[in-house]
Amino acid sequence: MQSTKIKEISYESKKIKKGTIKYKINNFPDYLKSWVKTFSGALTLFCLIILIVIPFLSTEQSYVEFFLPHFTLAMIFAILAASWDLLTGISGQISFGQSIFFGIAGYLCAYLIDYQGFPIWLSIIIGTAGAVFFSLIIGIPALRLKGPYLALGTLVFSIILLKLFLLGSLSEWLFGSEGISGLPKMSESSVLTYFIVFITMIITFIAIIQISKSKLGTIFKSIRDDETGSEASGINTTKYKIIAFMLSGVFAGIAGTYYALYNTAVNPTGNFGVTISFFAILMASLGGLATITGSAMGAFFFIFVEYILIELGAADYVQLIFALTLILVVRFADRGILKPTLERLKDLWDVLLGK
Amino acid sequence: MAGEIINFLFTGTLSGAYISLIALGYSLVYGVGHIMNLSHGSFFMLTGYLLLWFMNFFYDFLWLSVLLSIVIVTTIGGLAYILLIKPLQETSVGVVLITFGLAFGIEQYVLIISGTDSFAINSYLLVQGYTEIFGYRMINQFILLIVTSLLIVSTFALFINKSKLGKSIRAVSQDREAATLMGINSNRILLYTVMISAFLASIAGFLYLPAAALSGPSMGFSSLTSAFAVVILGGMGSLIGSVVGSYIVGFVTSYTINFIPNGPSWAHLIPIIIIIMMLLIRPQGLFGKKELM
Repeated sequence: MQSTKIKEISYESKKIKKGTIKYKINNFPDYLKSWVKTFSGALTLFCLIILIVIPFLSTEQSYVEFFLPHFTLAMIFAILAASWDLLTGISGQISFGQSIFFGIAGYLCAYLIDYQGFPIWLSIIIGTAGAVFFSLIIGIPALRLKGPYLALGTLVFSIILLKLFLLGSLSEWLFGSEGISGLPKMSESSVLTYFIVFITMIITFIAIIQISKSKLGTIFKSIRDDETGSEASGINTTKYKIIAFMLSGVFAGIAGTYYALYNTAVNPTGNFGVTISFFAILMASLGGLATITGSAMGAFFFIFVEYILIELGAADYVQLIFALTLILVVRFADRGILKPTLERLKDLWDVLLGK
Repeated sequence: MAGEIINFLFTGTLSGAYISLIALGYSLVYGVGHIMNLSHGSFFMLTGYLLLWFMNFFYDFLWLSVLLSIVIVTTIGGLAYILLIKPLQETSVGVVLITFGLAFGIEQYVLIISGTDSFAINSYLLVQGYTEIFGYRMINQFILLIVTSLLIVSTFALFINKSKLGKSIRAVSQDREAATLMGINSNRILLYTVMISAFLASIAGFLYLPAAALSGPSMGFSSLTSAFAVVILGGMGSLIGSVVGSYIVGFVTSYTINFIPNGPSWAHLIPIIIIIMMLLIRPQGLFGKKELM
């Protein structure tokens, strides 16, 4: 019963998506040319080309086995950060509970693969569906909470879920503090894994951006900006808030299953910890709230900085430095630090093009 | 059987006592300034760890360590207000994000210094030993905690109602602009409020944690979940609600641990069950006003 309901709603959102893409597909060559000439188009194309080329830069063992997976991880987190941005930046539902979707999807996927012998792709789909189903359970009491209460509420839910899996004798049913390990990787070749995640990330970002630009996105933004006004205009805010949670749950769930396969294991602190929600928030904030592409920038920036810090031997201090970064970003750079930098670049671009 | 009942009563009162201090501070800050301070729980946790570190450093000067811990945490609260919260007051997203960052930062800092081990700091108790009633042993430190908590809560109630500062705080909580027009420096009142709430959390910290053991920096967020359950139960912004709610939560948890099979495992879920039930039945809490939600 429940799965048909989920499929109906996701069909509804797909229907909206196709409406706006159709035009672009029909006029494809012209659209592409005019898009590339814009600054954001050229920059995106540039980044995409770099990302496609990266796996082929070197065939050394150390590069492929150790360096490349960092980028894969960055892309997994980019998907997670984008899902948070959709929920908080665009729909205004402040959520500290991305770790809920992330962990549930990861655990469900791991359980299905390890204990039930399901094939990988089926487990990913069912894991994500499980996360979405759970987002309904979270969403319904959460609807009574607004703004900061919702933030605290989602935080509390995520912590209690963490404790459920970590402590007490109930956790023994749920695989205890050791979790499930010995999962297969997404593919033996890390280059193939990279591309699978890469394509998923592209699809995610296109989907979320299209949602944001569509009528659904406008409804989300109106709920974010003025909920009372939206209710007064006849929008069923309850229904759309639930949709926002579920959409966010889909993408966070996908990220969760990929992460489980990346690590070949799941455990309570790694998959349900507050750290996961923190990462999503930090990356999306670095890139700028409500700018979806910012999440990708934030994710790569994060992984890059983390790598440098670990190389410098400051591995223990990484989280603390990132906590300080979040404080500084929220305090001083409300729109993220990466977007304004890009705007400066855009001005430069305009000057170069002689506008 | 008698032992279990006394254990139930005592543990319930104990939990209620220390949670009421935390929840009171949290609800106060929200009620007065609409500030959702997610780092409140970490003030509680940090006091315990500061006590531990100072005691390792000073060796024997217990009172000095306690004093320093309380002063430091209260100061951190004040600084957090001035530097972080006040500039972001217009957007509720900003306050929540930045206090979350602060809470996470404090947790990481403690993690770096002390790791995830549990520390029992029994020797740092203010009062040693235990009392026996009907064959049940009660740790004296906990009795001190309960007495102090009740004293502080009553003093606080008197303070809020009778003193000039208390009245200013109530004025700011009712209508900040009108209070400013009446000549009250709302900014400073908010600063004092945040510092008072940090002070309350740190008192709970130094009284409870030495006897109960520090179980890792995650205690910050754990105490926050209990505080949230309490304010949802009692009504956010209602001070009576926070105190009454704390004792209810305390007793329900204690009952679960003592009388329900597999009790201690279910105890983790008590806050969430309370939250969900209250949200579905009466979102404004027992004592809350409808507009607060």
